[in-house]
Amino acid sequence: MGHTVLVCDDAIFMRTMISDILAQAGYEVIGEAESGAQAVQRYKELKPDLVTMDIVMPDMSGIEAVREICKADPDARILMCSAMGQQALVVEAIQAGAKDFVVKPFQPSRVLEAVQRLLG
Amino acid sequence: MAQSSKYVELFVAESREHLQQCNAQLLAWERDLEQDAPIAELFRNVHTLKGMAATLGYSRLANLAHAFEHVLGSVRDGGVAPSAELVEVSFRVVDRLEQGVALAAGGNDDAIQDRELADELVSFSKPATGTFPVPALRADKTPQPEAGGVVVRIAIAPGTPMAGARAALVLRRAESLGAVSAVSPPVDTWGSEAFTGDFACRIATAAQDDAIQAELSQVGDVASVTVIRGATPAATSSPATQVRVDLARLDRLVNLGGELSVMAHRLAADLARREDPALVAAGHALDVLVTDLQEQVLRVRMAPVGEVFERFPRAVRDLARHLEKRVRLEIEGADIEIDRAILEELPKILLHLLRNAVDHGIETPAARKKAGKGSEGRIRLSARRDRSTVIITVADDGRGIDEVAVRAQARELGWGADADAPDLLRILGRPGFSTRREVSDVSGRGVGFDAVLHRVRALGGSTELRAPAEGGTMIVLKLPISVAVVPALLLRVANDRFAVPLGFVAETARLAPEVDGGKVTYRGRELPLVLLGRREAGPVRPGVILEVGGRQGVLLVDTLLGQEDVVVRPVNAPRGVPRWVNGATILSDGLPALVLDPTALV
Repeated sequence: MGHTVLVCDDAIFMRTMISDILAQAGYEVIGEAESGAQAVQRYKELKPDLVTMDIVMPDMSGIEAVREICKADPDARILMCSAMGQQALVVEAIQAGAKDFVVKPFQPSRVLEAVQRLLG
Repeated sequence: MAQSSKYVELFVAESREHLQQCNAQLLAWERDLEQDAPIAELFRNVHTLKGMAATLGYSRLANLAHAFEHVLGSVRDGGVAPSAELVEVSFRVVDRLEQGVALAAGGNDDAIQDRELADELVSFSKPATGTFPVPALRADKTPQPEAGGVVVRIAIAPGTPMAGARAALVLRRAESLGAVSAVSPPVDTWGSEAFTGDFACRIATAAQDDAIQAELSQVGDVASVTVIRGATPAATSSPATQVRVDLARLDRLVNLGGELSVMAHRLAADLARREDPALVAAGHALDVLVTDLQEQVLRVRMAPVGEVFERFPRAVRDLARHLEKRVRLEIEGADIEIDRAILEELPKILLHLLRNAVDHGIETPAARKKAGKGSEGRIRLSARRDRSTVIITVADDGRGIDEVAVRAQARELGWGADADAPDLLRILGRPGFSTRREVSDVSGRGVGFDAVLHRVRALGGSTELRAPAEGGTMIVLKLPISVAVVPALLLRVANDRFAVPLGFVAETARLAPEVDGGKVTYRGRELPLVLLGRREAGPVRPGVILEVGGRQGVLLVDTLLGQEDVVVRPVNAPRGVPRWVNGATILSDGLPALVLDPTALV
């Protein structure tokens, strides 16, 4: 365990919930970002093992952020967090380099399953 | 997910912020409708609110936010023109969301009035689903394997959320094995919710089958990975492969299958009397195979009732709104299959029953509250298979049928005998009956309940009315799964055998010979006598009480022979047949019998 995670979402509510799910499973949340631009910047600073990425965020969308992060680090492990009905955007994010996705509203088990798949 | 107060607090605080921003953006938008910036911001705020609400299980709040988000998305993408009316509705939506946040946080998401505003929003744009059609994976479009490469077919587990995105993950894995080409259906259609996640593509790889399967299955929710090599012919039995067949050809196939089945049955029965055990066994095996074949042939004509059911939630909702009621339609057993010929008749029948339930059964929200019920009424439409029948039930939790009032009106109409019949359908199903003096414009006009009963009968089915202990009304329709095979009562009159579809048989009885002017007295009621050819009044004889659309008649017979599933075939006689003959059939003993049409007799 002890893998590090960067949580990106524009809602504190979502960040808190995701952080809680991950922390309870023994992961270390080392940073948060509330916009796409901030996500890219923090990724470069922190070099986390995993990123959870919201799609709709102000100041650069999650998809743009995935593109930027993967440009700098093609092996970046990014988990998209998407709302229902955004399938087209999720497909776009995967083509941009995201490695997996979960659908809101979250079931903690589904989130952890995806995280384990990426870090396993 | 457990709703710890920490999350609820965060939710309330953040939602307020987002909604405040929404108000500011709406004001900016109202000043200049052509600006893009406020729309993009509004969309994002509403989207975030929706996500939080859905996570906490506040479905009404999420529902309203979703409808709002959808319209805003359409405006942003140019699909909906911005207008002063839309801005006006948007303000009301934001107000409603604000109230909704408080209600939901207090545990009262149910009390949020989301529907009408969501409907208003929908009226500005097209519905959210079914954005663009996805071409199905067709056998003829499947890429063919080439030298040095393989074709793989991937199926995503049914029910996986965002199957298209899951498929995209598989495709990424495939790219790690080698160059990927000829993806079918094309990736740009995978964003649609209609895409099932099944696709095929060519991979230029030298990897072994099991290595390919292992690699691609690492993505979760992959149901199957099929590798097709050059030497192997492309599997054409994909579930998405379909052929179109003329219905008339199918009917011929069904008829032949039916007769073959009867003959095989007879042959097996004959062989069973032989000494040779090998012949006996072969006869049974043939019988089983043919029965199986017959079943498969019939299945080709069948379609799931869901094809019809799926139109009803919208119809019920519209109707309820029109009557200022709140009704939820719950559907069960949409995957149950029934003959297409019956399926085509179902909409008229069910729509009538659903209208009745909404109009007469479900009370107004105020009346429901008074009766201690939830303000939203429930109607359950369900289908289930019971041997060779499909049972369709329409049950509501409304006020139920006022039996006393119904009987009182029947007496007023002078229907003395029916007024006291144990089965209320005798009254409700009689032409001209209505407890509603003022004819509402929803039901009560047009086809009456008698028409429903008649249609069901004509399909070889039956209708039953039940008053469940927990209140409300329940109508149970029993329909044959196929029109080609009808359960029938066999009987003999003089030297001829006849089959009567069971759906028309109310009961059988031994009847006293008081035949008087074409009438028979039965249970204190005078019923018209039905005679096939000339018959004299005689000693006590078996009789069949036929019932057609609330009317009854007695058919006097010589012998009741039993019950059998018969395959009805049309009769082509040069001089025609009596109008009370519906067709002919070959019984299991191999001899023919005429099938009666009770609608022409009673």
